[in-house]
Amino acid sequence: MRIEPALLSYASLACLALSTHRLRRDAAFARLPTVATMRAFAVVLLILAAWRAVHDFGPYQGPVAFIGMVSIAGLPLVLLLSRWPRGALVTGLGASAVALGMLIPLG
Amino acid sequence: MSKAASNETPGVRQSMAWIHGWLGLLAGWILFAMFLTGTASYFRPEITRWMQPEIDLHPVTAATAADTAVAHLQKVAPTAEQWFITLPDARTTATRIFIRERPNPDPNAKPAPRRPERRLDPATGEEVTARDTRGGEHFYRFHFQLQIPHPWGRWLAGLCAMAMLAAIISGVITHKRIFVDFFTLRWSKGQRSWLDAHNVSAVIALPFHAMITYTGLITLVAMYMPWPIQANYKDPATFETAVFGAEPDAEASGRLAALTPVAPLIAKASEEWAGGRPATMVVRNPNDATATVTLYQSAKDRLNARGRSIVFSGVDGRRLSASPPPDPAAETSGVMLGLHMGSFAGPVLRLTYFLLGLAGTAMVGTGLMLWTVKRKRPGAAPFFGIRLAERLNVGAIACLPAGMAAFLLANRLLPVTLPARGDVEVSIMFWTWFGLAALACVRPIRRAWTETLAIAAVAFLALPLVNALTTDRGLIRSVVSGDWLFVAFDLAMLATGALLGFGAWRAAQISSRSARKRRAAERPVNPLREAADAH
Repeated sequence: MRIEPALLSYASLACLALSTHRLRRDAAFARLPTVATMRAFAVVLLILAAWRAVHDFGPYQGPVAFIGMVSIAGLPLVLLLSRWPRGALVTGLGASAVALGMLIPLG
Repeated sequence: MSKAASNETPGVRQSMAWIHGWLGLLAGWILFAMFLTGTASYFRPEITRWMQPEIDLHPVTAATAADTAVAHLQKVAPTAEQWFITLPDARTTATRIFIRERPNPDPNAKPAPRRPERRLDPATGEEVTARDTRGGEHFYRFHFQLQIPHPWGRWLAGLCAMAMLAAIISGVITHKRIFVDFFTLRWSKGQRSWLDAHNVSAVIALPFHAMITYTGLITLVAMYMPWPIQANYKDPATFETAVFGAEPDAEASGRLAALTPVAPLIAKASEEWAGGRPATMVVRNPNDATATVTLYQSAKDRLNARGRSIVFSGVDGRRLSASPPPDPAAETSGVMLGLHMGSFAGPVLRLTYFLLGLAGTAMVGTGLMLWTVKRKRPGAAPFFGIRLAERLNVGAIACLPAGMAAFLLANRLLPVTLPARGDVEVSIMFWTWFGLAALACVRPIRRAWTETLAIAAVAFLALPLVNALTTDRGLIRSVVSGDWLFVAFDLAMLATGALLGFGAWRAAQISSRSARKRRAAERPVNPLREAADAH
């Protein structure tokens, strides 16, 4: 199931969301890394997602898959953030762990 | 901008907001239907397969399917003018054949009745019969023809798509806080919540919305803007030849000649297309000395939806000609068509397309809701325009899904031998859709939302049950036998039902909350209590 780009995008968007000031005021996120660190994580994960999409879907379908999967990853994240912000952080970490785990066999 | 200036002339943002609101409203109801049926069309062959549960075939190679189809056609129509053979693939499991008879040379004779398309088992070439239905093709056709006679349906769809494109651009200009509000969704805050939901569904999937609207317009651009072709080509046929290559049009010679085996031609074409596979085979003048076999390339593995074609001699298998290599303009338009239809997409990418389509449907739906919620004044009776918009919202957002569920239910419940069964299924969809919308008009608006959404939810939840009772491919048996198409279909119906049920539940909650508020406002004030409070 070539869904690693979607998982990586989800993790990236979760980092990006947790670098916004409105969410960081929430006590649940008191001990997060700094805004700059979260943004750097987000960018790295997004680049990984783009690379993985091109790797999995080829140079022509890859960009289509990347843009589509970033968009699709955003919707459950927003729904989760609106109801259970802490869950967004947990699933974001989970998604990045699973996706990075899937990358290992590739080397 | 100073305050005085903004009072005299509205700023760019206000003008854009005005355009966005009105274009969105006027085209919105049709756009909602176009988005929803278009989204369903990403699973067009799968819906057709679900709607003909009698057909359960196993895929074979294109060469085998072509051989069995030709053997069948040699038996039933050896002297026809043309054979059209659509080869099966992983998603469409049956071979489809269509025969064009030779016209009667006697000019006074009645033209022979058109033979309907038939389906074959690709492994054996036996004809397979199943219940008559339009299947997924119905949603696909409705998506851009709106069940209105040609060409008006396509024109109306095009006008709505143009409104959509303008609404996207004006919406982006209107939206002040795209990045700040990127992840913002607040529940149970009335207008604020609808605006959040509209912004989120629009902004997060914006690349898809812009792409799908623009490429949708481009698919029919030759119809909407015919002038460039008219100016450059006196005869439209010359344009088609220049772009797609010349079709062989030799008259039958009357000299018999055995048809060459087709499997080697498929191998040759596949080699020329660097592994591409053929989707369609057209045999002209079979068993005649002038016979030709044209192979059209499948778009299943490439972004460009318009494949190339090769013409072979039907007697000795020589390669006679091929479509010209596409020039940049033709390639661009083919890729745009491919991007719109997603025919290249494998399972994961198709699911992505489907979910993005749902996001687009949600964007249009929340936009329509926002229009009415924004203009309602608390305490004041809404004027006619708002009440009309509210009723049309119920009709589009809640009643169309109910109609689509009715279409699928009719497929299972109507007798298999009913005459014109496919047409009856389609009429049932429209009767349910518009009938329910009309019935909802006599109910108070809050109750109308709850009731129509609940009916739609029940209809979708009933589908897996009805499927299990009327076919031998129910959910449990499908899981056991590994029939994943039917498993996925049942699960999708349950999920849709649950989503609509959630909508009905929320509508009921809001309805009871606003009723409580109204009662509280109307309750006479107890003068004694008021006096006590004052102390």
